Amino acid sequence: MHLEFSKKEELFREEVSSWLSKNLKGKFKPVVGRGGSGDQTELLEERVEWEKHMGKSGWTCIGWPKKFGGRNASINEQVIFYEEYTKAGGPGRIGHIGETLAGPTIISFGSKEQQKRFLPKIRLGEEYWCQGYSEPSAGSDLAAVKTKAELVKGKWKINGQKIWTSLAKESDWIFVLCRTTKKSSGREGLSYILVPMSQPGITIQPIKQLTGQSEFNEVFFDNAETQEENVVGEVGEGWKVAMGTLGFERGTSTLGQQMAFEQEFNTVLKIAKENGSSEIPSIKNQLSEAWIGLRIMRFNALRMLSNSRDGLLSKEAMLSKLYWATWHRNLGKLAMDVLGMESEIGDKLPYDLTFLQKMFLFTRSDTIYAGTNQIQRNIISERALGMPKEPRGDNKK
Amino acid sequence: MDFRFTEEQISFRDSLKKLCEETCKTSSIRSLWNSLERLDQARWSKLIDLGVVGSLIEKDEGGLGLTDIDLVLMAEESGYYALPEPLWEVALSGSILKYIPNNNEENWKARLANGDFFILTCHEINKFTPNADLADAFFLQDGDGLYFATKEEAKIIERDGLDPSQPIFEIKWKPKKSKRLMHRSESVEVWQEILNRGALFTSAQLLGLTQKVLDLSVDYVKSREQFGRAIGSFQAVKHLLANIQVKLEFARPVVYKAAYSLASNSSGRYRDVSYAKIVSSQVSKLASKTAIQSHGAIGYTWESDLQIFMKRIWFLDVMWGSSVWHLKRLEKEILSPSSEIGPGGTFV
Repeated sequence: MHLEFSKKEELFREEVSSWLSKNLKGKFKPVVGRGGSGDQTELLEERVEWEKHMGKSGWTCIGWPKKFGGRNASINEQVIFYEEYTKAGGPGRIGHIGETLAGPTIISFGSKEQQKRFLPKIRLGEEYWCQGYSEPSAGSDLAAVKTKAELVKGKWKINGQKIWTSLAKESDWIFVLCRTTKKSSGREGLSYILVPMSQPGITIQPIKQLTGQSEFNEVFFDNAETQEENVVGEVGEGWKVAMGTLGFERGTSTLGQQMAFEQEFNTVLKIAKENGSSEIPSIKNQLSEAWIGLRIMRFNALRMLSNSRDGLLSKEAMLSKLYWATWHRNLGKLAMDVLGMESEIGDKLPYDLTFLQKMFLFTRSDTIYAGTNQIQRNIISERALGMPKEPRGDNKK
Repeated sequence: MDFRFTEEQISFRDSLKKLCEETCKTSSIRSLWNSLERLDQARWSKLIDLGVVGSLIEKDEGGLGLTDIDLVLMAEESGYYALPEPLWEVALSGSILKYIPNNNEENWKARLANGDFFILTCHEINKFTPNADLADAFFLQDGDGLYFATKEEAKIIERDGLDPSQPIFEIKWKPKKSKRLMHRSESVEVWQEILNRGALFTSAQLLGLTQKVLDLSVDYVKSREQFGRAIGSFQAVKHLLANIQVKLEFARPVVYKAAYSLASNSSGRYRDVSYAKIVSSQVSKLASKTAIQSHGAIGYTWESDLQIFMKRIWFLDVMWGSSVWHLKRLEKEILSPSSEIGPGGTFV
């Protein structure tokens, strides 16, 4: 064990931080610190420009292999990059679904043609991606998806509905988990298909959240089409591919996320010191607990990443979502407690909430999306501890 | 010794329940969000006919002469429906009329009892006043007393609020000696009583709100299926909700006891009210967290009615003293060297 970064890594850190400080200014100044939790759909045009600028300069997709245009950055270097990016106030990444989900999936499971067609545009910020997994009746139970795709004259025809799709309007492509084997059920008979968003067969309906904003959408497929070759992996093997994608989702980006948490925590702490609430024992206690929680998350994430140098996540990875989601939800409430009555006063009429109010409400979704706390505990019990599986309805009788 | 409510008290509560069931559906609450109408006039008239606004005014001043015990169940019920109108705030103003000398020319005391003149009481513990635009006048607090100001004499400024059903206002005014109803020395106790009663009504509403988000969640987990079963059949989900039920039932008698202490002017009323506000805040916040968790993503949408009740819970949590404030007051009482802990002391 040695916990210092190497000289080479420190040089890399300097390179990242100096590039960010030279570039995240001028016309990009307005996007600094924007586009985070509860702010994801703001300043889109400006943030797209920023994505393209990063892409051109070689600072997107740094963890990808060199042959796909990445830097083959080590896990430590990725950690450093995410840390410096967050420290510099780099805006929320519109391209993150392409970079961290679609791209790695295509790299691991896609054909050479798919890699050539899709990866460069993701890297250069020219095409954006959204995720088509959840459906109204397939939330925690993802394998219950009903959306169907049928091969007709060299094209997939897709019918059904996806829900909770972030950035649907801003995206050029969606990866859809859908049923390609008729009368199949559960994990069998699913395929992972890439579908262009801009076509008459796709309708996007924004979902208004309790924050008053719309960051999620419903996506309706009514004879939507895509070319036959746009299946990733084998037809009928979609579940395996989809699970691979979920693995990527819990990877190295957690470090940058923690840095964002640190900034949110500092905001709350600053207010607590200013308004005197930090003198109240129960608030003091919660602030200290939150501070400790941040360190726990960081050390665990670093250990987890050290243990997964072969690219596969270790057992510890199963614990992290439950921990950070719960921690973040607590921070949201702590922010409100620190503000006291101020927490009820919004920014401006009508119904424009403050940054911290949005954060508070947004963190209520943290313990729900990408596997609820309850599902996470089942995963920990069944996969990490090897306990018997919970009985399911379909094998009840 | 009898903790039960009388038949009359229960039937008073039931009449409010019936009224809310008929007139305070969530669709009606939502319709006010997008409307220029600030008040459901039909509902408000019926509420006034019920007599609640003048219920705490003494009989010889034209009121019903009821006590906090008579009203606590009703306040709880109004919480269950997230009633948006400032029913309890207006009733609260009536409760202090008995302390105010009879020297007003406009005869607003009688009009308050009749329900055609609304006074809201602005205690310094609340940084803003909900529904101030509906008031005809205000009782206001300043360093040296209790003041009266009509809506023309005070400037009200609307601020954006987190709960769309409770528009909030800052009130700017200049204390005028001629409008001072009570001097500092006389008013200190009265302001304490106002705070206690405000916190009591708030606690009772929080109980009702908790019951509501619990009922909504139980209904949802019974019907929502995943993995081929109703999600309410999973222990991870059902235990979450069972915990709320336990905490809610344990909070109820605490709030009822506080109503009793206030009505009987018991020396323990400060700590009883504080304790009530703390436990009702705790259970309601836990319930809102649990309710959205059991609803899953649908509970995070604007379309879900859950938000109406959760946002009211968070709103009432900070009104009339947050848990933190009441905990401090309670600590003072329990930890002071002179406090008598145990039988005969705090155990009564």
